[in-house]
Amino acid sequence: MTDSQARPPAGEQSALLKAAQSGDQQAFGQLVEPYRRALTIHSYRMLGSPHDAEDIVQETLLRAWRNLASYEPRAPLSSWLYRIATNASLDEIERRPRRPQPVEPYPDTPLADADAPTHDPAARYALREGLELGLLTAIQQLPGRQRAVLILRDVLGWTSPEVADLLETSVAAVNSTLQRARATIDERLPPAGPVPAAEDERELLHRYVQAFTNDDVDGLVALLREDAVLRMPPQPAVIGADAIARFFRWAAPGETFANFHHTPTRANGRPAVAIYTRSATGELIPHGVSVLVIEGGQIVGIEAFVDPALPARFAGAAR
Amino acid sequence: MTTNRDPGWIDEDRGLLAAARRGDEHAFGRLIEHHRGGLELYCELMLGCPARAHQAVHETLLRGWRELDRVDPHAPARIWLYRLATGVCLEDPDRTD
Repeated sequence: MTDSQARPPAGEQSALLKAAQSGDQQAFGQLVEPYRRALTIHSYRMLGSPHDAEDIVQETLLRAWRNLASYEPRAPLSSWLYRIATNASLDEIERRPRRPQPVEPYPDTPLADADAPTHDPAARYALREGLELGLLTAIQQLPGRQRAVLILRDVLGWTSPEVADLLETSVAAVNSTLQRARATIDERLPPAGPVPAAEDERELLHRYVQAFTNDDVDGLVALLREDAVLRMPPQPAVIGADAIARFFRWAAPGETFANFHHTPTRANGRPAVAIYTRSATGELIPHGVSVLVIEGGQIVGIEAFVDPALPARFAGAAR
Repeated sequence: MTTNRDPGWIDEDRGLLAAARRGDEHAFGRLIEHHRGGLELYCELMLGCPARAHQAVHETLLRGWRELDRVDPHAPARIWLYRLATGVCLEDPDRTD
């Protein structure tokens, strides 16, 4: 374990352990508290969700308490706790393999900075500005292996030898699969239209924020395509520009848009807003994050995630 | 290798994989963390659905943990993980191919 929290000296730790093993819950609390943060980070790494990580740490400590008698002090306590946390995480993953998970939005910045594997400037299709919907759809129609080869080579920027290694095949086979996949994509994609410029997206995002600030219902409706969809799992979707505007008006404190305060940011590779609500006393209360899906200069989708913990995570993700 | 692949993280991956094979869960977690963002993106592109991609990454992680003792410790962990993810995505029951 590489964390550096102050931990009780060895003598004190073994006294706490002895007390805990004979049923002293408070001693157990003191014994494990220094490991809590490291266990949370570990569980987060395993599950990819801060929310689940907290639950797993609770579960880990519960299991540790129940099985404390079986702990042999020859092994470091940290290793023992990590093992329990790992098993608890894997149990959690196994428990829910087929239940669709509401996906938490992720800020762009950490993902973009998270090592090289995601993205290569040499990739054929630009990734950061969001793949065009047409391309995404075309990719989905490719047969499995062609899909894998095209994504790895042309979107993620892997080399052919790397892809060959992954698929346990030859470089020549990868290249010929790639040619076929590219030909299919080129056929299905409409001639490269202007890629939605980042500038236009920023402008649209700005007008979205303004529409709320000015309590401008018509202004908001004008930014939305007529058949735009607001998704807010687990609630049913709201469909249509007018319906979305009405919904926001209804959901806003005091039924005025202006009580939604938005900070522009980016999430999931798209323009997004961190949402705060304004209380009667003018205080800003974190509310959630909305991701905007833009097509042809209009907002066609809003993916809303209501979770007061989110806005803080998106601070500074704006680019 | 292309220019943005800093050999630093490849070496680190190798160390983490070796440690994970010795039973170091902490190292396994860090290895996964290195690649989670990329794997989520890859699975999302493969499956066309963020929710199913999230599940696919979990399944990848689970398979990785189970076959740690069989993986070639000298092979790049990244390729191994993406290979597992590819298998998971191609087996996805909601797809017909």
